[in-house]
Amino acid sequence: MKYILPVAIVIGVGVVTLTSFFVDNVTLSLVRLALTDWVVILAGLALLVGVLNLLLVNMRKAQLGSKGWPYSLVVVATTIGVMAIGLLEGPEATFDPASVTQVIFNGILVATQASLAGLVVFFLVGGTTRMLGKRREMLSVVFLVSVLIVLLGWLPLPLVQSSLLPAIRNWVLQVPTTAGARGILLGVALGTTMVGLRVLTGAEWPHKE
Amino acid sequence: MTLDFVTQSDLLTLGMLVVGLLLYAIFFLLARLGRLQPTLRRLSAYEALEGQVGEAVESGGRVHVSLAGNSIVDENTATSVAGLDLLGVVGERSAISDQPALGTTADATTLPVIGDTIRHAAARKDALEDYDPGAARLVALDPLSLAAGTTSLIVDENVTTNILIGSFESEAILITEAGSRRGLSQTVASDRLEGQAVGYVAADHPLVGEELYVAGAYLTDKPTRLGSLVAQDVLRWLIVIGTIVIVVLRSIGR
Repeated sequence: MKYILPVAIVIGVGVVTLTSFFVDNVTLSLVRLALTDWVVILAGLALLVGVLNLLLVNMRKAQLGSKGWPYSLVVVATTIGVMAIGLLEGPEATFDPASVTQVIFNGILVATQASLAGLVVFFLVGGTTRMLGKRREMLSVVFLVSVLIVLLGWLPLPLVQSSLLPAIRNWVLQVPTTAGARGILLGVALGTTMVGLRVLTGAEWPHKE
Repeated sequence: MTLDFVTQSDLLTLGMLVVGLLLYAIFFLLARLGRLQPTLRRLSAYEALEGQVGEAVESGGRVHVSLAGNSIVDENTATSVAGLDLLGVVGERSAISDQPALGTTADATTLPVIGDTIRHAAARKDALEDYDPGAARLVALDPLSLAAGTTSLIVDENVTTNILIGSFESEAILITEAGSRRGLSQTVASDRLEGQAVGYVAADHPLVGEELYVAGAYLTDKPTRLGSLVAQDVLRWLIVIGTIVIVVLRSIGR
């Protein structure tokens, strides 16, 4: 019984929002905009709760001396430090490239993420090698051959570009890859639709007992 | 009040929603009456889940379920809901363990729902006293940072099974690589093509396309999930037939 009200709210809000996309009505549009504004406010509050969760979990790890506790201390200190700098500099610092906030963002965060992204290609190569060892089947061979054709076909070497490889590469990308990708995305869209319909009909309630 | 179809796609969208709803209603009722018993295609990810959780429970390890940076307030909500569905099943089956399931995310709006899902799973198994609020964690606020944080988390928390279900892209390889080095059993389910490619390469049990949305049908006996899965399949066939018909008609000049 205690879930009837939340489910009713979900169904009501969902139907109103969906209807406002198809029906040209000022009242419905205003309601939709108001609901969207409330979502933004709730998301902001959720962000505060999330940061609190991050701090509490890592502080507890450091307090208990759990595995990796020095890194938890670094996380806590960094989070509090950057938050304090952001609060002192104010929201204008987001648009000032010379602000400490922006220097930290560009100099540390962006640089670290770029280095992590650079590791992706090496890990992919390692993963592919392991896959060929674990799964010795035709699909794995097709996968490897496709990767090699596409990668080699992009090489800016006269010998490669004057061969059939670029044409084969283009065919692989434009025909089977595009067809397969569209099929997969169609399936994802259908799955998304059905989950959405389950939520709108009250049949899907992520944490219902 | 006018029905304002801006484009033809709006009409198609509405039609698909109406047909999907009708199909869902029909197959849900049939499943509820016990008259729907489809033969489900084998998916190793769901077949292996029981063993993965059992192994984690017996070895004193933990099952880690990551929902990526999926929110519950944007277009990725459906993927979040699918991930929470699987998390609920995993949470229930690992509730008896000393170390219950660990749920991570890079989105703050999903965090409370993850915690609630794990808590309710523990309550269903009368293990509420063992529920740890720290089982739901916001690791970072963007996908790449989530991947970086998760690589150390799976070591620190003695994770034995890694389940990545969400809008993962190529950054998932960072997590799966760390898991592979520790010999973890890994499942990757993403609604993004890059994530699915990574899953195919690096995971023991990849889920491709809509397979990530059918966890409930494979792992539970709820008629809502089964009806949804059959409706999804029928809708797909209708779209395929419709596409072929349109292509043929266009080809003959109509």
